[in-house]
Amino acid sequence: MPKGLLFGSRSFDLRHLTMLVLLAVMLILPLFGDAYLLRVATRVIVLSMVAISLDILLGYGGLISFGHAMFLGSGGYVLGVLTYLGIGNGFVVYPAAIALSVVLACIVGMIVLRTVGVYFIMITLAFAQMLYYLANGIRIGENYGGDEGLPLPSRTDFLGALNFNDPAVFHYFTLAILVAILYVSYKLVNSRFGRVIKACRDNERRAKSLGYNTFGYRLVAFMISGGIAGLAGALHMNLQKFVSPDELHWIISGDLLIMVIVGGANSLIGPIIGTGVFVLLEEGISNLTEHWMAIFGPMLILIVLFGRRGIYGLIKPKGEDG
Amino acid sequence: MTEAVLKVEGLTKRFGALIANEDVDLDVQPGEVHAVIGPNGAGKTTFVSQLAGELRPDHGRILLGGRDVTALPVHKRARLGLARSYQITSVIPSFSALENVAFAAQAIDGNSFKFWKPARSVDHLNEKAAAILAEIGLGHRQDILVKNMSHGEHRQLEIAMALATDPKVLLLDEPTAGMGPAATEGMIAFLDTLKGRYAILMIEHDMDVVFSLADRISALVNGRRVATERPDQIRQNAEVRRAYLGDKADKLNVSRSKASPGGDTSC
Repeated sequence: MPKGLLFGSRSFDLRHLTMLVLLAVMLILPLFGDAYLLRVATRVIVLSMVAISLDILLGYGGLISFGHAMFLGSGGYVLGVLTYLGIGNGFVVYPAAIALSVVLACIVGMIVLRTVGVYFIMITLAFAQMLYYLANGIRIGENYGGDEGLPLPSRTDFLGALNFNDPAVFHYFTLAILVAILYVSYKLVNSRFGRVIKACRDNERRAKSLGYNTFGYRLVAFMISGGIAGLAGALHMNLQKFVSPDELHWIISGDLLIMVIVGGANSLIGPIIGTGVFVLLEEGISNLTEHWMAIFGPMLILIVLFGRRGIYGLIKPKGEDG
Repeated sequence: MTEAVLKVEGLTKRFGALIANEDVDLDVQPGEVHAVIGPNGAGKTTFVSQLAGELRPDHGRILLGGRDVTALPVHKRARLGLARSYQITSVIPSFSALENVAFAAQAIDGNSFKFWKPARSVDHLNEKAAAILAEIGLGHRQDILVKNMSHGEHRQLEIAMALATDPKVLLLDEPTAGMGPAATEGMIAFLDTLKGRYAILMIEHDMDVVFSLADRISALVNGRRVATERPDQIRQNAEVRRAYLGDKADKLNVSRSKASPGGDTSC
């Protein structure tokens, strides 16, 4: 665990306890041998990465992206398509998934970052929907692709080092990646770059008049966020062994926003908590009734109403920023 | 005359049929305080916005240190040494006072694509920021979040941020707007210490401030510059008196040491 993240200058508090408990649960889970539970836990880990990447934009950058599922899709499709082409080496397909997502973020960012506020929300949504229909058009051979989606034809191989078919191995691998992402993001948001991003959120006009090319900094933030989400997208493909256009659907983008906001934006732990709560409630309630959203919806409203800054806001010491 | 640090030639800006600025010429010499006065609606804010680059003029040129910056965006002008403060306080509310100024200092410290080292432990930025805050009288408040600071302190912070970018020209848009009499006195005293060190273009409503600080005064009326004079002469300028002074004629006659206790800041 990164030291600064847990035991910075401040004393140990509820936040740190929560993190340690979460980490311990994730570490112990594979030992119980419950395949279903393990799968849910791994899903939480993978989606947490996307939620963190979204929060870098939303919580720290003030950019409400309503199209973040596009990167979940781009990572997944790169993995799927390359594997079909016979490239199953993880050391190739993973960097490729990240690289393409960064390029996608760069192209999309160049356009969407020219808008702010509600226009930004709408245009990111529009882009994601465009890609959703594009994904519908990805066909391989006679039987694969299109709206039916793309199964992963063979397992991703890291030169024999990691067996992704073993759920426990895959689980620990994603957990390690999540910890790495958490650490890098922590460094990022507290760096001079992060300071510029936060200042743009608070007062972009002022940042410009001090001499900052705010567009450039936001674009790079968008690309970093897209890259992290793309990596998570590839992992998600490995977890599900399947990718379909549904991965890019706007509902997924909405779910991601809910995870960040419920968990607590403008923090790095919040999105993880939010993802955990979302996935557990989704799995838990949807087993009881197919109208699970009818129960989940009011719960979300309560959480947002009473924990203004999300669940994380409830366990965070008062008067502290971020 | 030496070369002007900031020179404006024939600046014109229209919004539809409304003429906000028409053919405005103006310059600021090194170390000079040049005040721009004018009644509400005279086009002062439009003028400053064009200088800063937030508005594009219809005609005319803006030269910064001899270089034509008319087509440059806001951040590039800032990098060339044009710093501004805002009429309505514009700071970064979630940052501390020190971090606001350090953020300003960071703007001229190379680019900010620095992703690893914590921004708060960059010593040379913190030291520079602390020195400027101490100079402006906010040294004891540097760790306070600015959303918890008073209005007067915000005004000071505005100027501190502008200074942290090592500017050639300071554009001060009503530096004492909304300040009480005592705080205004303090601000005048501080701005006076900047005289001679920076070229300053100041928009100001408060005549006490204008006459205390300005080397030259330009009057804008209905978007046009009707006069540019030394302070003692502008009181005598017939066109200024007729077109602009009206209700403010008394104020122009107030002595420099100030005699009107009821002097509202009219903003």
